[in-house]
Amino acid sequence: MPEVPHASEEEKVTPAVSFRDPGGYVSVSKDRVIRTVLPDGLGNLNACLSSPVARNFVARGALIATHTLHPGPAATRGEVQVEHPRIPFASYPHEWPPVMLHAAAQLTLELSSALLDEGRGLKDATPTNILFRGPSPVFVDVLSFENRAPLDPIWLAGAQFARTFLIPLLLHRRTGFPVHELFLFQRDGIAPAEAVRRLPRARRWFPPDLGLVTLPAYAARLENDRLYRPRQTRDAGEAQFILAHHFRALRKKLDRLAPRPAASAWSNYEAACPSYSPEQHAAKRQFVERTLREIKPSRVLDVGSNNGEFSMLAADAGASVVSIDRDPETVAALWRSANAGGFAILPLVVDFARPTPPAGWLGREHAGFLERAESFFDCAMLLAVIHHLMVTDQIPLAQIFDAIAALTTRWVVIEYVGPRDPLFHRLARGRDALYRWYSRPAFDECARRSFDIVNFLDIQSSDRAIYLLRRKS
Amino acid sequence: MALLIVAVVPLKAYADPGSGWMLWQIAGAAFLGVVYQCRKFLTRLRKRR
Repeated sequence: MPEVPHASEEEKVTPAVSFRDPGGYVSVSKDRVIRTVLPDGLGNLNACLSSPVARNFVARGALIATHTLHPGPAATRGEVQVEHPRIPFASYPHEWPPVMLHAAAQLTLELSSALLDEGRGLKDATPTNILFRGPSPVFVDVLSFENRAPLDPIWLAGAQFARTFLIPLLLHRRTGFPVHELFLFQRDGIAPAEAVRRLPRARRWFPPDLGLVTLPAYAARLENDRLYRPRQTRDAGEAQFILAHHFRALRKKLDRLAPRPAASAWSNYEAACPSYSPEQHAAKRQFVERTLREIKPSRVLDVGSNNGEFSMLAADAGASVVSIDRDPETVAALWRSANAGGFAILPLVVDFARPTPPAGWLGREHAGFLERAESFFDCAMLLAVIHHLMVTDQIPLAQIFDAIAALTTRWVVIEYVGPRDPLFHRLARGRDALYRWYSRPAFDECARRSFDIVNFLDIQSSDRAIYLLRRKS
Repeated sequence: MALLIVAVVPLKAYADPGSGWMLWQIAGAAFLGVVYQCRKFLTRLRKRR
């Protein structure tokens, strides 16, 4: 593994984890993202830096900016170091609902198509080339750019684009396949031969399933060494014509696979299980809104965000918000709202009771959610979620507060839901005796171990209250 | 930066090109190649007239 750039003692640098690309690797510290470009990757870097299309994408925020650093000791080895601005919170495909995977696919394809006109392309096409800034996808792998061989009519990354974008989206469309779970265990997506078995038999022989999965799955049986010989057309115009047609066809397939809004048990949770009267809800909303405007947090974690009502309040108050929920459909709905409304919200499919574990080679390629979130936020919101953690997931209250204290550097807005609350009672399913000890004083005592109680609002005629807590230094 | 501008590096694609998808793409490219050459031929023919 290549050595990481020198870091001062205060600046902790993660080991280089982007080791697959022979062109270079990335090292991330708290505030800086440094990419070391090895001699094999200089052509790729040059393809990116000299591309007018790339400049255009950078200007609209769809491609990460790149600044070449002054030559350091690495220059003697023929290496170059560049710096990228840090995307505030890294997220991975195994935390995205299908609609975010689709947005990442659109960006990848748009970039590939645009680069074709200037004789360039992308040498790989994987969701891990994309991060999200708020709800907007950003292409971050500048070494993916390449100068195309003018006579080459094949997009080598096409198969990867199909495995990691098109086929998972197709399976989701046909069977409700949970795409985020796929990427936790299969970095490179799903091959046609594996996907064809999951497709309903009746659909396999009709487009787009036929061209995306069935025929490539059968064609795989004809594999031989000659298949991978470089191909050349008679003239550059022919290669360009073929690739342009190929990208248009992929675009059409991708458009047909756009995930449709769908309902889940949680999508309409508030309406199906109303925990508040309209007056109570208005009081809660007003308290949270006023609190957020007073404390002015810059980075908010909304745990169990559901429809994102309070995430949007936080975004309106000027915060950059990461909203997590275990239900992909509610996360997808929130992403659609945030994207349409331009809210600084990054919605992720993360179950706070079973947060995303570290993934990839040696567990170091993709940090776990808690590692990324630790001390990242200055405010955590847990509204109408504590009873789910305590009762459904059976996590002790003290441990919930310990976990929250590790995530926020300052504030917590949290809702107490007591055992006399109808929803608490419903979740307990006859096990109410387990929670006889639980009450407001017990909640306060647990909270005071790590936090000061700054303010609270009793919700009238209910066993609920909203607290503002400040972390003890 | 001068080094970057003059560097000519062979392509080093490392993503798995697949097998079935590759064959499917080659077949598509062959078909489109014929379409392109036919169009080119017809365009030339029209110009001669």
